[in-house]
Amino acid sequence: MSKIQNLVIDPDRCIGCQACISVCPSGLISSENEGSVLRVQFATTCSEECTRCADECSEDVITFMPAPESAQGFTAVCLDKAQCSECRSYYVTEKMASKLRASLSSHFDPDGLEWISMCPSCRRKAEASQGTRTGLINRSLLTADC
Amino acid sequence: MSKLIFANFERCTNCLGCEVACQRENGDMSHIRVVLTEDRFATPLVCRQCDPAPCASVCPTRALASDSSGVRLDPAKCNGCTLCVYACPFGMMDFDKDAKKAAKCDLCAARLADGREPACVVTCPGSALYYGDYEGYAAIGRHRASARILRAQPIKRGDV
Repeated sequence: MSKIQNLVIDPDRCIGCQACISVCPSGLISSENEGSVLRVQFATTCSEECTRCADECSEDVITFMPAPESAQGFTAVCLDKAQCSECRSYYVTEKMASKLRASLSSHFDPDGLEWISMCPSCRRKAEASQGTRTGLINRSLLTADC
Repeated sequence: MSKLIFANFERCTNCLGCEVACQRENGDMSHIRVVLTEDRFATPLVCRQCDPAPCASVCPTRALASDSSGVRLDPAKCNGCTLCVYACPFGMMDFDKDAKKAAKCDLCAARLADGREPACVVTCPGSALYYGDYEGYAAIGRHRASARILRAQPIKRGDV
């Protein structure tokens, strides 16, 4: 008979990266976007002898507790999402954004990291409009009367 | 100097042939994107293979590694945490929702191993994409510019 274990996620330290959702072989962990909040939902009881979610969690926030066989339930972690500075969409959790800011500022110029507050789609648009500016200059040179 | 895909925004006509070619190579997911701005400028965007790479520096499992040949993703190591997706300054890191892993341009490593150029580059009908080192790309730009001048003001042999 397989063990039944209780899945416990520390809501204070979870950053909402959803690696646990990506690796869970039974799909017991799911997430939902509710406006400005990301809701990571997990079945508290897991009947597999599997620790993949805890192994892959980069923040080490998942622990297991032995549970009585009858234990059932669903628990969730709610995380605030950050808003894109351009399109105002909620694109990533606040905690992930601050983790990115912290880990990138040790490798890159901290003053040049304002793109973290933009969603990936707006980053592409910003990059494209940069190209457009160069293109407009080149086009005006080609059509100028000289 | 490593070889990269360079995009000449001036020559792109927004035909999206590169996106179709990339989808064909990578199974329904294109890692090159053409963004249209101001209704007339089509800008093909593709992974810049940064070195040092922000995506690789935030990867908790070291699935992403940046070396002289570009930024390589090892899907076996990827835990699908999406940190790299939000770490890319150019929004060019993709997430494969089916495999639940990150996905990125690998410069068509399988094609390169066969001695063929990346699919988007060979497909582009406007020669807007170039695969090679920066020196080669700059040389093409110089050649095009001088050809343009010669067309405008032909110089015959012996003129100078």
